[in-house]
Amino acid sequence: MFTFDPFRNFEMVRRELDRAFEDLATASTGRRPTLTGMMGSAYPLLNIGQDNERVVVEALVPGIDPEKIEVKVLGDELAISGTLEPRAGAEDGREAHRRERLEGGFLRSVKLPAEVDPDRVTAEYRDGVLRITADKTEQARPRRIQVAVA
Amino acid sequence: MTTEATNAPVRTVQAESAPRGEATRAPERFVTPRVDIHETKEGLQIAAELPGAAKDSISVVVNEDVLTIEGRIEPSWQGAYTHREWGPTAYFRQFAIGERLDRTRIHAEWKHGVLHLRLPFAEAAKPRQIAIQVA
Repeated sequence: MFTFDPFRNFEMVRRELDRAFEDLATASTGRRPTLTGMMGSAYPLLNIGQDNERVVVEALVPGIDPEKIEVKVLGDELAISGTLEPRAGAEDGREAHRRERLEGGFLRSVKLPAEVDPDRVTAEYRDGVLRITADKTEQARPRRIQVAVA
Repeated sequence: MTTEATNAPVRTVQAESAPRGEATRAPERFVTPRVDIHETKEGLQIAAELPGAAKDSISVVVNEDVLTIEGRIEPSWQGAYTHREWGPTAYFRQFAIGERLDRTRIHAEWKHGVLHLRLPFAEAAKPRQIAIQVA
């Protein structure tokens, strides 16, 4: 007697799809290193640097309309948010073979190494990297102390 | 369903052909760009994310039936980092492209850290309407 098990059936279909678009590199080496895969779910990946005058944040946000990125600064807190628009797919007659790029909204806030002046923050977007440069507040800058000769 | 596998026009080449630590061609570590691959009536569209790579560092090479995408992130900020999640590295990924694709007419465009490739189907591979003669 034949019994229909929908879940078992689904499992079979899923496995066949995996095989059809099998990625041999994944199969033999396990998870391949992608930049966004390395740090878990934090998005975007970012670097924070500083010198005496300013703090620099470099975030990897490929393929976004720069107008859709929002940067907020308050004291020593920085928040980057935006939306990665869903890319057209089956509805425009395209068949997807791979869909690895991320979609959807993101928000990441970090503590900066120093307080920055919110009026003196600039952001530029180039080659998929958002680079934020913020001037430190006067109080946050290191000060050279003159050593008086007694 | 092995027929589907052979019909899939693009698949990733085995890791053995990718540069590893001891390879001379690309001795450093590399990361795999995330890709979307879509098929249309005209051909394939590949969108590969290589954020941080300068346009001049990116290369797209087709050798026989292997498409290779490479790029490189160079250091930008010369000062000290207090927190670091990404750094100078190389992007590398290879795909086997079937003979359905015309490898002489690949179009590449670089925008916002994403490499957009269009690989048209070879003329012979496109569905063709046959005119029926009236006898």
